[in-house]
Amino acid sequence: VSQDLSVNLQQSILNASLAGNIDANVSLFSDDAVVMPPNDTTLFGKAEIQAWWEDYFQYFRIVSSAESENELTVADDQLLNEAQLPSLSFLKNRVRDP
Amino acid sequence: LRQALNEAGKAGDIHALISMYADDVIVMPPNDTTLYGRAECREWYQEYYQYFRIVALSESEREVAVHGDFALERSGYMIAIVPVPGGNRIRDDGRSFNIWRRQADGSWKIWQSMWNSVKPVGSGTNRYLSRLTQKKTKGKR
Repeated sequence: VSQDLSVNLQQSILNASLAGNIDANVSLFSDDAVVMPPNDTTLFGKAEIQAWWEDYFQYFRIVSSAESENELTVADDQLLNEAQLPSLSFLKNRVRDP
Repeated sequence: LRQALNEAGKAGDIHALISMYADDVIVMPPNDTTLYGRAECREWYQEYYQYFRIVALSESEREVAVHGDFALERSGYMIAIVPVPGGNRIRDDGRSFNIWRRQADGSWKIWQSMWNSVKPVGSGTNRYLSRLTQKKTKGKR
């Protein structure tokens, strides 16, 4: 059941990312989520995560994203999910000068 | 445990570092391939300390949540390294996320780990570690 749940959640994340659906993406995060994107500051909570994705999708569109590997461990009420996720993004608009 | 890990890192004590990893550890360093098991981690650290020495390492924040036999640890850190052949001190700010797992003997070991920099691509330690990764990749071709 947990494996099914993980697959469904992971699929939802992928689908939301591919569709550029920020609401669907952010709905998968808890209110107190902490996200640490590489080469960027840490995001605390849904509002910051939403702002990050809004900025991202302003410039990029994800055209391909697939898991190469996924390992799931359940500990009490925690799903520990380690996944490798190569993705391919395209610049949506020309990056504007600041 | 975290204090011991940081001290081992600063001392370049690979034996002490690896002793804190579980046998089935998985480590995901930034801009590099995933490491599976202690042997691959040891090799990674041996290569790292061949080129760099950590001269300062401190945590800016840390949060730990324990769930049964697992402990989720998120921390922010400031690090300064110097190239072994000589050169200027390189500073970086980053975050790490470790999952510690209680072992059969009751001890806690790092089971899964990843970290990255908050600094833009091409700055901080990333600039130097990327070159090292490119060198490694080139060598495998």
